[in-house]
Amino acid sequence: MRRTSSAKVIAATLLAVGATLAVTPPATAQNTPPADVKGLWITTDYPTLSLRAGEETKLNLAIVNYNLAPQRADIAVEGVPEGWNVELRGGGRPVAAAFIEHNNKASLELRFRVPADTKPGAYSIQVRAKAPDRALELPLRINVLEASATKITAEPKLPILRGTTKSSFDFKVNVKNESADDILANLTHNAPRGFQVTFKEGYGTQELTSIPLKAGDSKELSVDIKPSASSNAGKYPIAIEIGNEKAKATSQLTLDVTGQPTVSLSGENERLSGEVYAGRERRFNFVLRNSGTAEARNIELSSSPPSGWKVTFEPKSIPPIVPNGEQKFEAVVVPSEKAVTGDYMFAVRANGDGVSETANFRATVSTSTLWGAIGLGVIAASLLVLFGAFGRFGRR
Amino acid sequence: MQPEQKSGITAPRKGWIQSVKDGFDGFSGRTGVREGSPWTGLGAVVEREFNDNLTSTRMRMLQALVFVTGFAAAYSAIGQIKDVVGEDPFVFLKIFTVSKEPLPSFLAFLGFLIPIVAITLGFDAVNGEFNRRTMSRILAQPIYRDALLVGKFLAGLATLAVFLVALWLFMMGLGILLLGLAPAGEEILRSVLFLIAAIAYGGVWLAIAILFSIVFRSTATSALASLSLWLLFAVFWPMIASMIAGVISPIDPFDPRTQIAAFDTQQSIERLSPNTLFAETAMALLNPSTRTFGLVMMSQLQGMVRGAPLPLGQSLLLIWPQLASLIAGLVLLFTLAYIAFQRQEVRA
Repeated sequence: MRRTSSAKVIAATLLAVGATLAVTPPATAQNTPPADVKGLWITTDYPTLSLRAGEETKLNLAIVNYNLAPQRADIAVEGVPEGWNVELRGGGRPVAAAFIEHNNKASLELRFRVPADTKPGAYSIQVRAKAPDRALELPLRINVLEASATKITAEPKLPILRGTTKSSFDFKVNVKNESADDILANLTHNAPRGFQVTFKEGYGTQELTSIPLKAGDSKELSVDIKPSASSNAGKYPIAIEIGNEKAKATSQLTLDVTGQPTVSLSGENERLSGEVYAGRERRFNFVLRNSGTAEARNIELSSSPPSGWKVTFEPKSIPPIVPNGEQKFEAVVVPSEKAVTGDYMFAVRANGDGVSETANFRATVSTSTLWGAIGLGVIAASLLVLFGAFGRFGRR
Repeated sequence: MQPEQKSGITAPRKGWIQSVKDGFDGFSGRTGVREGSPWTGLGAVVEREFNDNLTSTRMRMLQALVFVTGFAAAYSAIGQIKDVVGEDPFVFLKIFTVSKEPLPSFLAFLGFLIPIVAITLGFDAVNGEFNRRTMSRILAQPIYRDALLVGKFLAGLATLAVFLVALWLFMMGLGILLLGLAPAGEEILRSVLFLIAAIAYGGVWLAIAILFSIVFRSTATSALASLSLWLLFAVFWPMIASMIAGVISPIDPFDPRTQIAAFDTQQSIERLSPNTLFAETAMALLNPSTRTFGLVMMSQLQGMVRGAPLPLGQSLLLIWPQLASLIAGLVLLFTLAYIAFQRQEVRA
């Protein structure tokens, strides 16, 4: 608005220069006045308008000179209600008079602000211009309306989402500023402890704590909610609040968290190592624990033993494990006959519906102490021979 | 010997079990067939021989040689350890096994030099007495031949033990000084067991040297016989073993099983040498990640945790046959020497 008016002022100046050069600049928006119209007028586009209390507005005024000599006009605004702030500007500055060229117009701007506490009703203001031989008057009528409440709406596209504790619930919420004011809306939520809520704009990546909304503007907000890993299965309603102290919108989002089994595999007393003898069967106890929030079903046990080793499990199939329950099983390990003394490692795996767990078991192959006894026997035999020799060859 | 002694062997037709019983009776001091204990004067013999051994010039020279080579090997090994080894739970044991060109490792030096020390101690144990004409004088004292031979052997073994313990302490001290670490409990245990194996190894060679000193009347012959046997086992035995293995189990190039069999045969023949037995024993004790000495198939390697040290008990079980063979060999060789000595005519 302001820019256009100053453009008009510039155009007027150009015209004044153009008149002396007898050139009509093409930029001029003036219509050539009819020959029989003659006089000086003060005009505006909309002499009657409505405003809300607290608003500020601008009104374009013009003083037109048709077929009169260029002349000066003093301008004044009268009848301004108390508390209103009214200012007359020309060329961007406060002015009190204008000079109107022949067949031209002076553009002016009337700015006024209506105080917020103005009572609704009709108010009138007069703009008067005084030329040397005539006086002009423009009555303006302003209807002050009641200050409207600012209003925001927030509409989730899909208010209920379903997922596991590990999934991310991604809600899209359409936020609209239905008031006439720009708003900086704060984003808050009442999620339970351990839940992570992040606000993002549309498909943006930046996390937000507030969002600016222009009057009448609407934006898509994406609300990512991550439930805490320990949350039980169930529905979690979460209200998100968008707005400031003047206006607020609340949107109800619901997380339907289905449980997730989490299985851990460990040895007896948390031990994942043991001693074995080559070729001899040995049993090791294992425990499957479900620390998740749903039943662990269809668990199959498998292992990848070194070649020549046999690893089987008892029982072969694991019954479903309830949350916080545990199930014991035995691994029957038969090392290869040719296993070398020392440490071997193999994996024990438990795979079920949505569950996969691996534990590495370290089996230390030991040599049977039988060989030690045989060695001692050899030494004892040699000592027997020695004492035999003592007895047999000892001289009297 | 006793004045009423009848020369010759007691009771030629005596049963073996009776002989063993008599031997134990004599050992435990009970008078069996003999009058008085055969061990009378044993202490005196051991003491004299031990004294002679420790003060003899040749022993001192040998000790100086071993200490110098040991110091050189250990010093260069420690330098190598500082450069190369980052973190090792058995860093102390590496002093014995790590080598740096051009020096061989301390262990290789020991495998080489312990037999020489043992041969030096034993090659003239008996024939030297004959040559100095002191044998009949000694036996004129009221002691049995048993006591004389056992005393000489025990004194030699004690000298070896003192020598090796001193060397061991020297190495440990050097390690603490230069590495700036104290050895861990298992390292001490393992190196003490290694010390015992080294003494047994030395004992085998001492028994061989004493046997030759009984069999041959000339000290030069017995020394040369011992040294040539040492040379045979220390240098030529692996070649001979592979030759004999080639004859016993020839390799068919199209049958991998014959190659395995040939390797096994060769290994068995090599293990007849006390040097091989000692080398394997030392390897398992000083290098805890040693898991086997035989061939390892690819199938056995699968799933194996490489480089994981064996527990001490398992290392010991791994080389127990070798260690037991060394000890049994020592006893049997001494028995042979004893029999040879007992049957000898001493009043030449």
